[in-house]
Amino acid sequence: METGFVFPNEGHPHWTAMIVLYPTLSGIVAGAYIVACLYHVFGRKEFFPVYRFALAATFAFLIFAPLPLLMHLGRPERALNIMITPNFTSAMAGFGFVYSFYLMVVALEIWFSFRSDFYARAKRGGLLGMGMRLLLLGAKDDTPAMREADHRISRSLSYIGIPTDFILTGYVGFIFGTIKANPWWSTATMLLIFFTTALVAGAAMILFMYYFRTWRKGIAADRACVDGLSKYLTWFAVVAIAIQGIELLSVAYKRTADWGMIFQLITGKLFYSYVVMQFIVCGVGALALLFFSRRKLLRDGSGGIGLFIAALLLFTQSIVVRWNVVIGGQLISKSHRGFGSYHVPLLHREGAIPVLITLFMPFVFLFIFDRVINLFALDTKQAEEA
Amino acid sequence: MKNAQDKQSQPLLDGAAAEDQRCPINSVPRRDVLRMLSALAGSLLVIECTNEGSGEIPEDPAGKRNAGKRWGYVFDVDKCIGCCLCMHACKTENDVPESVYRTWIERYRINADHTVTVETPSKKDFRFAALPGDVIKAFFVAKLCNHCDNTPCTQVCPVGASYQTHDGVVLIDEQHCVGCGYCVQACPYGTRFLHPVTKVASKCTLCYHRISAGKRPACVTVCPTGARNFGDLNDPKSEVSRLIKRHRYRVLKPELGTVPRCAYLGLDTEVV
Ligand code: SF4
Ligand code: SF4
Repeated sequence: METGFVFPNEGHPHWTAMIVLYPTLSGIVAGAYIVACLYHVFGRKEFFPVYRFALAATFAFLIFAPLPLLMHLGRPERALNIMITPNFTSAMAGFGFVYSFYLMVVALEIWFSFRSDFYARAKRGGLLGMGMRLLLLGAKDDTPAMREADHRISRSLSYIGIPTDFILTGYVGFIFGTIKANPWWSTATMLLIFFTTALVAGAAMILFMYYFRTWRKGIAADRACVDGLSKYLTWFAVVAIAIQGIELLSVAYKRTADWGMIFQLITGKLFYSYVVMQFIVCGVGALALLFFSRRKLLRDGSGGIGLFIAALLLFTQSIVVRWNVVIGGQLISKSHRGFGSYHVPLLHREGAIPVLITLFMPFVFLFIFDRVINLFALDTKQAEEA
Repeated sequence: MKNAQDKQSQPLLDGAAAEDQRCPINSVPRRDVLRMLSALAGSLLVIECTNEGSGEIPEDPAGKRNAGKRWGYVFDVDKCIGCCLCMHACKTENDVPESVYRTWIERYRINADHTVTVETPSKKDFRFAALPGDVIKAFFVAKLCNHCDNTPCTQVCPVGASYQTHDGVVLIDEQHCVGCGYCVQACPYGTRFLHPVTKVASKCTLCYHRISAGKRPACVTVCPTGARNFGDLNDPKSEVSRLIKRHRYRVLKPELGTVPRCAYLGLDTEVV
């Protein structure tokens, strides 16, 4: 229900749950890629069991990232106009180019990283084998020298991938942070909020997916890997939540003309999703659970369930943050005298079901990918080989 | 939740001044007479306007039309009687769907307890509800695209579908817009919307099809009191130049640096 006075064209948000999903997917891309690079580029050997999954997840979420945007466009058939006639004063115009470039880099990195797996799979024949042969693009051999070359090339590609990854994630925050018409968005920290929560989302997703995979296989999770992942996740989450808190504090302390509206928003329409979910349950609560479960892990190797739940909560936090930014910002009327309302319809093109399906599509892709070539290094033999 | 209006309460005029302000708008019979007269005059003008055509913007390949002009808009708050004929005229002239508005009228009501209530007319017949008795002051304000000089809406459009003409009118190329809604977010005045039928961005064009043919926008044409004024800011003899030279005026949200070209005479600070 609308409250107060809302401009007549503003009844409900123009950017809907689909637009919440877009930065969510691109955020997971960024976080997953950084985890992959921690092993691949920065030599953190403990991440070996999840390195391949992290790289594959980067690719999976990246290919689905533009889907919510397409679903949202009023005229999706004109989507390519963004690349054909880009308006370079627009923060959104560069998206097509940065995205395509990054996709190319990640696709090449995946190819060089998994080429010998494709080769092994192709040798087994069958329909899938034929597909793999196509994917090999004529590469007919798999020698240690070739593997070494593959590794060197994919590592070099990471040096291009890391800054591109940062640009792609940062720019989403930039889009919101530079809309001066909206007091809830136009803050200097918006870019940092998107960036830090992206790292949290990626690392959290890899941690809970790793646990999930090991539990399904009935094997123990690699302690060093879980320890490393949870350590990075803790740091990322501490920084992310601190920045969110600092942003709120600085807006509240300045008490500008907009503070009245913002205060009403966070204590009213956004109370549950902002105060309860973002800060208490999925923020400080998840962090505390992560902290105590990590202590248990370091003490006696237990605490897996706690880490799994904490990772799920932190992953949810990154979605909730985006919800509160995207939807929350649009609830404040530009009249500064009222609030709009938003209810997610179930079956609409941008409704809850299409949103959930789009969110799960990368996971389905990863499931299939994992069936074709094993994405997790689940046994010690593989680890030793690495 | 506490009502937004309460938060916005402002110190107001003293009793005598408030009484003065109440007169023109609260004297019901006079207002009704005016409304009837204006409705009559307005409907004739609406007919004249709608005979113009579809609201489509004519081609101007050489870009020469209206060369040297800089269109501006001046709204005189004291003259508006809230008849909303302009809203009618705009809807008809530009075929604007029921749920969205290229221009609208807001009624500001300063209540006895110094709170401010803002309303728009009923969607059905564009009439305002009767004013309650305990009002210190009330006035009407028209809203429309300000055709800003420093436009955030054209800046953010990823495909260049939102653009500014050489005579300073901000338009949207409906054949090119992808309907991303970025410009809707960027406009601080809530004047843009996504057209429910064409699914692209839309807003006031200052009736570019009319002004290109040497006529005035539909809303200006039908306004029976002369509250809405339109003309060339580069022409010192135009009505708009004369008005802003002779009166004090304000623009909306100047702190955002959009440099609006819609000026308001006699605007209270309550208006955003
Ligand atoms: S009022 Fe809004 S839509 Fe019109 S020019 Fe200014 S920013 Fe653009
Ligand atoms: S909705 Fe259309 S006009 Fe507005 S920014 Fe998007 S493409 Fe440009």
